[in-house]
Amino acid sequence: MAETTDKELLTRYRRGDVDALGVLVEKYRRPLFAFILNMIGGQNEADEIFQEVWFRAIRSLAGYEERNFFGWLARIAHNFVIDRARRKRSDVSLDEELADGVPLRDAIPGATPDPEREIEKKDLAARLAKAVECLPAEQKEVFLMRIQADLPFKEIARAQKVSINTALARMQYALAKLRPMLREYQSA
Amino acid sequence: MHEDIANKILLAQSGELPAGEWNELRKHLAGCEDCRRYREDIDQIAAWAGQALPVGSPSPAVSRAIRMEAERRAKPEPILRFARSAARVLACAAALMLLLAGWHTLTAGRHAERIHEIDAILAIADADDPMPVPVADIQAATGREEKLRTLARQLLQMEGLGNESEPSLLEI
Repeated sequence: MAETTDKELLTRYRRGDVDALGVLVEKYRRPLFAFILNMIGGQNEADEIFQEVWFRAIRSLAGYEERNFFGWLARIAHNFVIDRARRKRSDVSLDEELADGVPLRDAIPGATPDPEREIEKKDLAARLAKAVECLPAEQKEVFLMRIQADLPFKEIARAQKVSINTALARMQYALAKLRPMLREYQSA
Repeated sequence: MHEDIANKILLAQSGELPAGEWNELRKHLAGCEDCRRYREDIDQIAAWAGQALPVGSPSPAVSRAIRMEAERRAKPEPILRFARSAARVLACAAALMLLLAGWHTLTAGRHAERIHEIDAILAIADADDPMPVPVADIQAATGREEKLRTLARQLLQMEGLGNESEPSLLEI
């Protein structure tokens, strides 16, 4: 049986079928929540934003005419994440220092002068997660939207209000910081 | 590593590379080990990121809140909307029928009273006739009385009361 499209589900919800919206919430629960969680970092805040994203979406459905529903959700999520980051003034810069005085740039495992020691201590997956966490916000967002949420670059660029080439460049920068870890792991 | 090819690799992986550029990419990858390795690394990083990055799940309370908001904002089902409309129409019809029934009951009572009044007048007229009437006139008087009765019934019939089997006013 053919999968019901987002458009059909939205039409059903507009006619009063609440279960149809429930299907959409469940369909995008994992990629949307994972994206928010990795951008924000805490379960409670991720819960709040996830809820706000859906509340905003439900309120705005009357005027919704997009083709890519998840891309639209991701844009709403992006706005909430940016807004939250601004309020908290928590934009992470690689030039900022950690509590122990070590520049964040040097705390990214791929950039450490002693990668072998790092590899011995932690497995690659955990280090990769930490490295992603430490990426500049724009690069991290592109990486998460692409890898975790499986959004095309066209939608990512739209969410970030940049050109597709800028979105591609941000992904390239992110990958350039993550690749050395992979190389070290493979050579170990 | 070639930057323009790196972009094409990313676009190919996201399904956004135009069909016409696939051949060019394949040819390049066949002859460029750096770019091939880049593509493999991206695949590896994506696979590991999928395992390493927290996925989590919204709490049940959040899911319930979203459901409640969706219910609050949802329009009723078409069948429900039709049922509500039909109920409104039926309620109006019932109210109208009650009004008509009430009106009918009131007017029916009034007509019954008028029948009795006419019968009473005719009875008094019969009883109080002081003049002796010849036999030939008695027959004429009976005919007139009968005509009067018929006329009264026809008038009542025109107001919605009376028996259709009675002779029409025009036949009299």
